[in-house]
Amino acid sequence: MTPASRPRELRLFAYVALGVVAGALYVVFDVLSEARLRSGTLTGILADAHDVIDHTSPLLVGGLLGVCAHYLRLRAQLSRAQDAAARAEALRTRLHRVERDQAVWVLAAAVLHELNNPLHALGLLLDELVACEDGPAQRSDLVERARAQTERALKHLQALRSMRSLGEPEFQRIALDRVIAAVAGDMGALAAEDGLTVRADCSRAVQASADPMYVRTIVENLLDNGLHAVRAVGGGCVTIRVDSEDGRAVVRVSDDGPPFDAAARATLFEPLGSTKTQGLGLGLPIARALARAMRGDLVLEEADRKAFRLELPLREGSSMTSHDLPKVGQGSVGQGLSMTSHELPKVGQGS
Amino acid sequence: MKGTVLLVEDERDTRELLSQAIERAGWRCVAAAGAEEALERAKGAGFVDVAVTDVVLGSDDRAGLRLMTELRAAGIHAPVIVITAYADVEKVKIALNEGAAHLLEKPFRAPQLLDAIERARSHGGDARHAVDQVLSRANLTAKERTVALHLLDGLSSSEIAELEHNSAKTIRQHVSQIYAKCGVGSRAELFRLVYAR
Repeated sequence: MTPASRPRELRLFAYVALGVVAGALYVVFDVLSEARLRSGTLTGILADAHDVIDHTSPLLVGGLLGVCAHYLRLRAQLSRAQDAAARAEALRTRLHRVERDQAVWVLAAAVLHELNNPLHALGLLLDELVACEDGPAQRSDLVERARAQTERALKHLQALRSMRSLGEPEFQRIALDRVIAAVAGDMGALAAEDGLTVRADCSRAVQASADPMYVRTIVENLLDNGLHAVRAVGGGCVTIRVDSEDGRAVVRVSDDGPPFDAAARATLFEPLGSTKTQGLGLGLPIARALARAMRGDLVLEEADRKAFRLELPLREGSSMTSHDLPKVGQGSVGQGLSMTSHELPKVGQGS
Repeated sequence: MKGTVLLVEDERDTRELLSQAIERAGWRCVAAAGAEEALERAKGAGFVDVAVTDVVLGSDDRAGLRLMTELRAAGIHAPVIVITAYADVEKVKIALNEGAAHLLEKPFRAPQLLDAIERARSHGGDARHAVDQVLSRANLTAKERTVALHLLDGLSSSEIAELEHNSAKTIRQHVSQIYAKCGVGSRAELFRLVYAR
């Protein structure tokens, strides 16, 4: 019996009982009224008692029959509800299994596609290397290209591994501005080699309750996407800013790349929906899942200009500034408050 | 030279290496990274014997399949070899319906592609491709080519003259030029040259 059906049944019992009691009281009142007219002899008293029994018995029987009928109806309803619940559960399980199988299939197809391309190129490069009769410079070029293809394949595998290793976040009080400055410093140094700029505004000390590894993964992903977008238009800047708004820690990542069209916006956070020519399209879905696992969120804030907003809970009851917190690393990027990529656990490690 | 192969592949390494392999095998290779570039290069290539295209080009996961239709619309009727990193049923179905001559799934070795190219060329494309092949090798002018196509459609000189708004004499001169360039002496020989290969 469900909790919702219990009060309904109790109410019905109460109504039936009240009806019976009311009927009985009426009968007693009726009999006593008649009795006053009779003499107080023993025969009169017995006749009165007999009258009471005569009048109350049908009421009691009627009440009991009502209760029995209702009980039987409830039992039938309960049985049907239980059957329906069991069927619904079976269907849910089947649906879940189908969805999971489909997700695995779609993922496998995407992985197969993304891995096949570098592996195919790698095979062709190795064939070329074997047949190569040119000098060491040409051979070295082929080896470098083969290495690049291997790294490309490994990057896809790394993305898959990071999915597998996503566990519960380890909440810590973190100086968000420092974590962001460190990531921006690391990625900015790499971007500078391609003539691209990562501009970080981490001047405001913001403390958040979050998992630093998760935050780093999210921000790396957003910056990587931004850099890809500006690289596609021949250069530009990716900006990242840390702030606190309405009791939440906020990280904004925007870039000078072209805005997303309506179709891309609709599937931005769906797995396998990448707008890039290479990649599994898992970066943003993973980043959003990580943000939500930390009781935060990741949204596309401005449709016309690409700006992502990562929102995280501020550390509660804290009056510390970021400078009171122990330093996480001593890198040389940004304002001297940096952590190098080697000092943070990488996604996928230790899983 | 065996002929011209149009290779459409967005992966730079793959495109370069396959292109080298195709050229080493005695073909001229016209390579392109995307569908648009492929159409432009194919139109400028003269005659394309065989086209090889990847299904996924850039972020478009069916650009290669659409390219097959676009090539035909541009008058290029070469047999098409479709290459793909993942051949799902839907894509294979489209490729077959669009008349793909061969489907190669990655990873494959260069000799496998060369073998497919040879087979696609020897089996030929559709009748229109056979016509294009003969006429392009005869080095006809645009006008002669148009007249030749009318001839192969079975039209008489006077009918062609009417269609092309020329005199019958002009058309007869074009027909003589066509026969000379194709190395035939009559309409029957021209039909034989084109269709009885």
